[in-house]
Amino acid sequence: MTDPTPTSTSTTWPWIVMAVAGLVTFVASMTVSPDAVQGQLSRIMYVHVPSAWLAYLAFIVTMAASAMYLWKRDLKWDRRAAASAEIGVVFTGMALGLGMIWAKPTWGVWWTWDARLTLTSIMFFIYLGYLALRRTTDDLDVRARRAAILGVLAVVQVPLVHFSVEWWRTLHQPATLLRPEGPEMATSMLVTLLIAVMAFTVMYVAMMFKRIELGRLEDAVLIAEQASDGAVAGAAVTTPTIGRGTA
Amino acid sequence: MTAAEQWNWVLLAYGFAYVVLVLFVVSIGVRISRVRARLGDGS
Amino acid sequence: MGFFSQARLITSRDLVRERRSGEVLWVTLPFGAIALLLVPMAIGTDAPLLEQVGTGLFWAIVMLFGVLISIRQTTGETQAQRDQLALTGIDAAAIYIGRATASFVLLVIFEVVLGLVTIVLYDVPVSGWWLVPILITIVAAGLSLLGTLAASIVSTGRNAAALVPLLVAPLSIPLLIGATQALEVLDLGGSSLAWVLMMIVSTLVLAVAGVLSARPLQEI
Repeated sequence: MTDPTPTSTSTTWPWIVMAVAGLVTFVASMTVSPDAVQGQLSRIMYVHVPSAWLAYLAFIVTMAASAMYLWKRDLKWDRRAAASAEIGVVFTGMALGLGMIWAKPTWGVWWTWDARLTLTSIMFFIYLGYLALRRTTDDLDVRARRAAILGVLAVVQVPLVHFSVEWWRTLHQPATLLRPEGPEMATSMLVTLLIAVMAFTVMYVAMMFKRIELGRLEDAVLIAEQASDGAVAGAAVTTPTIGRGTA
Repeated sequence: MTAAEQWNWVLLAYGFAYVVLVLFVVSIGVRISRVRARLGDGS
Repeated sequence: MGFFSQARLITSRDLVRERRSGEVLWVTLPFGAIALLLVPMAIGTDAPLLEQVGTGLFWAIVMLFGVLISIRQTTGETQAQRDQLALTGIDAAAIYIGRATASFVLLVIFEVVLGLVTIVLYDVPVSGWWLVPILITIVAAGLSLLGTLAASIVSTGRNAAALVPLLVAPLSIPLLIGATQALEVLDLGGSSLAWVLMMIVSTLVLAVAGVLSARPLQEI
């Protein structure tokens, strides 16, 4: 089932929203007072935590949209899943990178094998696999069906992945798990963190609008290309000659 | 670690985060305009 | 023809093809074995180190290389062959189970042989040997179900060779962690039951997912 070619005009409000959200986060995290223990390093949390939150949110949206596609067989759900996956992989990469940048000065190492970090890196690879799968074909329906089934397969296996990693790390890690924000968070820090999370969520929504628009346009190109390939079957049928032809 | 050293790490973090975000957002915009151009002058 | 007879038909077809081509025996297995040979060259050959990493490394190699069995040449099909098989009227889920069973058999052989190689090269400790056949069976079942499903998803798509392993690797983690932890816990005197149960749950989930996806995947 394919959608007709979209003729929507381009919207500009998403760009503005993205810029404002980014600015708000930046200003909020720079103006809040630093943590007593971690000092200025605590500011990194205000981009790291929202990134991680979005990474997981986008993942859930991808999986939910995949299930909706399998149910409704409407390509708009596939576009939503794909958009969320692309945005999600960017935020997952950011979360991992920011986690490393925060970890090095704090703990002296770039990486620790705690459950959260390990699971985030696993999710990164699941995203990559999903996006790679979408590149295996240009047939819109085939692509959508394959990706959606992978999405649903991931959603049923990921809880087990999550569970096994968590369990594994609790057996191997000392009880005092290090938390990036320290044992307690000052109210000002909590408020700033919430502002950053909300700003990033709004940014995600705006990104989704534009990325889905891109998806619609790209699908339209693919449909147009596939329609123009090859002769129309009916062209091979000609009117039969009756009578004077050679028998 | 001095406050100055900490700020270096904060700068690295924000630089990384915002460069990635800007590049990603710009890439969406560029791809949209490219595809619109393709659709515009016919397939 | 009943569901399981259909599946059995597919399994024997796959195994006959494999016997003729010998891909698992002569290619995939040696590849796994040489991986086990390569690692000590990279990380050092002192016995205590190898003894420590041996078991875990074995399971890692099984997860990473075992998926090659699910995507072996003898299961590779063109779109025309797939269409023809679909036209025979054999249940798509039976094809899936049949394929996965064939891969299961080959994976068990793969694991047993590589297990022997690991014992020889890494001199792994002997506690908990009764558990190993159980783990080998569950891992082979889970990995073959997962690998066959991933191969069906990618199907005739481009870049299939490395894509199927990429899709399988993260989702095989419960099996990997389960197998390694089950043995480790036993070493420390605890019970592996919880880990084994988790692995069984994972395998069942994969079986259900595979069976339910079989027809939708066949239709495209």
